[in-house]
Amino acid sequence: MKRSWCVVLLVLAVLLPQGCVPLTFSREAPIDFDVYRHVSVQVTLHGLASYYDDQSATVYLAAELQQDSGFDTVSIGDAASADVLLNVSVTVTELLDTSGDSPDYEYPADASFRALDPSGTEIDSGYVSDSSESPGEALEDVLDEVTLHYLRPYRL
Amino acid sequence: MLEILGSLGWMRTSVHDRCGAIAALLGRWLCVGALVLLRVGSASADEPETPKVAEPSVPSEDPSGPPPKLSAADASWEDRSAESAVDEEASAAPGWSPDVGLGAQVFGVSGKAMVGLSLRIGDELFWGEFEFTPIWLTKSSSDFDGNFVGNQWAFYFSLAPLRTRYVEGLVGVGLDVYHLWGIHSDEAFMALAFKGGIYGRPTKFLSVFMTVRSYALHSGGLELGTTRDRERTIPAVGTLGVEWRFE
Repeated sequence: MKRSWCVVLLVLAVLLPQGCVPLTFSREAPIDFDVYRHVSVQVTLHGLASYYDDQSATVYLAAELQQDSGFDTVSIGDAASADVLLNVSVTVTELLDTSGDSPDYEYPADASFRALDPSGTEIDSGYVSDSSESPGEALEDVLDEVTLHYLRPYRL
Repeated sequence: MLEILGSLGWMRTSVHDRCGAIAALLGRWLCVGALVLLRVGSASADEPETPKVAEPSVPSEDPSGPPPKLSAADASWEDRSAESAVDEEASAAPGWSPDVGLGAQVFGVSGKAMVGLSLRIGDELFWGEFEFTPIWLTKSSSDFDGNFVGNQWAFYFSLAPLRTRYVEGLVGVGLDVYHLWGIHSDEAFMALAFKGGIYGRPTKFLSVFMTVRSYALHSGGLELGTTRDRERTIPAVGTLGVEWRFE
C-alpha cells in the first residue's frame, strides 16, 4: 500500500509540468493612449466634499492618473497643449441609517466624466460610483474609480 | 529520488520557462511527503494497538484480617450521582463537530507562480472550501514593471459523493476572485467556477489531492486557457496539493 501511494505521488510530480495552462489577465484601453498622450484634468464638486475643493480634488485625480493611467502626461489647467480634456463632475451625498442602535452615516459619491478632444468632440464618457464612511474618503474612492477606467492597458 | 525529480524539473525549465521549475519544486515537496508517509506508515505499523486496561482490584477474602471500618453515610451521594448523569447526557448529546482540512496547493498555470493555502470545513457529504493564493509573474511583461500582481480568493460549496477510507471525490461550485491589487487597488476579476477534486488519504490525517476547475462565467479580462498571444488552449486549470485533516 505504501509503495502504491509513493508511485501516485511520483506520477503526479512528473505530470504537473505537463498540466500547465495559461491564465491571462488583461485590460483594454478605453481610448487610444498612443494618440491621446497628454490629458488636462478638471474636477467639479457638488454636495459634501469635506476638506476638498475643486482645485485639491483636481490635484488628487491628476496625481492618481499620472501614477496609474495610460496617459504619458497629466496636467491641470493646461488645456491648450493637451490632447484630451477630462472633465469630471462629482457629487457626494449623506445617508443616515437610524435602524441600528446608533445612527450610521454613509456617504455615496457619484462621478460622471467626459473626455473631449481639442475640437470639443467627445471621445469617451462614463459614470462611476462608490461610497465610504466619510465624505473625503468617498470623494477619493470615486476618483480612484475614474483612474481605474483610464488604467494603463496590460496583458499579463 | 530527489535528484531524479530535480533533473526532471531542470529539463522542463529549459522547455517551459519557469513553470517547470515550480513544478519541479512541488515535485520535491511531494517526494518529501512520500518519505514522510513512509515513516508515518512504518511507525504506526510498529505500534501494537493493544489498549491497556487497568485490572480491577479484588478485595481480599482473608478471614484473618481486620474487619472493614465503617464510615458515616454521605447524604449528598444521591445528588452527585444525579449531576453526573446529567453531565454524561450532555456529553453524549449529538452535536455538529465538523472536520477541518488545511492544505497547501500549487496551480498548474504557465507564466505565473500561484502557490497558496486551502481550507475546507465540513462533514462527510457537505463541504465549504476557501482558498487564498498569491500570484506572481514568472514571465516578465512590458506592460507591468513588478512581479507581484495580487492574489486569488475562492469560495466553494462542494459535495463529496465518493468517500472511502483511502479516496475521497468532491465536486463543487463557487466563486474565484482575482484581486490584482499589485496593479491597482480596485482591480479585480471574478469567475463562477465548477471544480472537481480527488483526495487520496494514505493516512487518516494526511491527504494528497488534485483538483480541476473551469469557469462558466467570468469577468471580461480574465482568460483561462488563453495565452498573452491570444492562442487558445484547454480552458481548465488544475492544482496539486497536500492537506492535513483535523477531525
